Amino acid sequence: MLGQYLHYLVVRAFQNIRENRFLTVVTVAVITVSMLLFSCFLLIYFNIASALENWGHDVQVSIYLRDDVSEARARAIMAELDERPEVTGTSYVSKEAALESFSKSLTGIAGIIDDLGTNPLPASIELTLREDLKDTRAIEAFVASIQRQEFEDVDWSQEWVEKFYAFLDLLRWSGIVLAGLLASASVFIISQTIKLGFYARHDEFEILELVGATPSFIRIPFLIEGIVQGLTGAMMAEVLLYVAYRGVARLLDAGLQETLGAMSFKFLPPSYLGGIVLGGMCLGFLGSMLSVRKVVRVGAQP
Amino acid sequence: MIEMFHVYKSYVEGIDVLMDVNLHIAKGEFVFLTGVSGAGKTTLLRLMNCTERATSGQVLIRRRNVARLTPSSIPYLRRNIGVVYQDFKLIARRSVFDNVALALEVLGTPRAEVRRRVMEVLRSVGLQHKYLQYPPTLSGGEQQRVAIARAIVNDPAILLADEPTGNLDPDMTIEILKLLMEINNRGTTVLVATHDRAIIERLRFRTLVLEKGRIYH
Repeated sequence: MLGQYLHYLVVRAFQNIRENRFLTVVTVAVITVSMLLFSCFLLIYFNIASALENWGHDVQVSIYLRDDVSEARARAIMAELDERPEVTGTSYVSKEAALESFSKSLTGIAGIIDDLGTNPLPASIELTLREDLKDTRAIEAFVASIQRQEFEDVDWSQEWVEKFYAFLDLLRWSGIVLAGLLASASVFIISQTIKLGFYARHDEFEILELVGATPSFIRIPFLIEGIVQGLTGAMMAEVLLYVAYRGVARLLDAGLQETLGAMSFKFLPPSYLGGIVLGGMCLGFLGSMLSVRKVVRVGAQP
Repeated sequence: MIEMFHVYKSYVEGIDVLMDVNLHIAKGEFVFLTGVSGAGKTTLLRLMNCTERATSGQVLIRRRNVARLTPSSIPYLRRNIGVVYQDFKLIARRSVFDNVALALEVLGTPRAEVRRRVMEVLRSVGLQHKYLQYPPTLSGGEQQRVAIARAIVNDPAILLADEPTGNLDPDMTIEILKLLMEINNRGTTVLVATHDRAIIERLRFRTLVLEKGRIYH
């Protein structure tokens, strides 16, 4: 009997959808647009976060040594640093090697350095940190812990990494705010369109009440309708997002490959796509529930 | 089957639509309720099918005090009461079959059973050949027969008819009344509200007269 009851509820939900095609199309379109905007944002965020993840692997600490530190002493320090759990690799860059590398990278000003007559660049120890050590505070703490008199300066691109994480945080919060705004707008519009459908079928509710329908028998088809609309809207948003992604990826691929090497513009992974579909269904469900709760009240009037 | 004790109903304080109504309708009875328009006939029927609550007094349907029912149990009581209206109250966008089937679907009746019982009841009202048609394509009499079919398809103990012949010509009126009497003969308690004195005089069933909110037996 319960199975049959559920069958009637689902059939009625699809009957509702069929009989109110225009309102259904409007609702699905609203959900599609909302989910597409959010998905675009998510796609951008996902790619930037992935890029940071990749670049994060290369977070290096450069320890510039004072000129009076001999290579032997430098190698002794390196051996000590190698013992640290945060460090996965060390290398020594002599003053000469630093100059050579600098001259190679900046061919235009190599002549100026030659004119100086001396080598102004310090020798350095390059540290590669453990991959999971990306938190700026953890890196800062590590840097503070290795400081000593023999070091001229310790550089770990602090500013750049901090800015990048701040940017990522900004993106994340913008995403949350955007998602909140889009969700509120969608829920409102869905509830209004479903309410219109309700008023169009007001006669039906009266009859259903007369023949002894419980409130849930009247309400549940509308909730199913909302979930189906949410599901459809979210899936359409994903299809549109994929089409847009293919177009943009083709344009970007050439340029990105040249400038950023291995980095590529990726599509959202299945877990994100599943989340978008679930989000769409929740929007549809919430929108329906808001209107159903207000409109359907079965029982004797006082 | 239906009992009322000192029932009052008012929508505006100080103005009673029903005043000190006392009545008893026995199981299997056929009763007319008459009175001029605005006498309170529809209000009385609405109290019986729990669409409204009495301001004071007690309404007992099948020995259950309606005032004590929780909102969630009202639908279950309504399943024992078939209702027929002057304006039929059919869903225009649903077929005759679907309109009648609605009363069984809310009970979760299996599909095969729904089909069997709907066709059976449509046969009893002479509309089995029109089960795929839509209400707007039917005559007034046919629409009222569909409404009656919907009201009795789940074998309710009580059938309330509010001016069921109000929109029909004399021939159709007789046809519908015959149908209501057949239903009554099968054991259903029938209460017909009508302002048509000709019907009442012709059929000579017990009649309750409602005048200015008071019942006269």
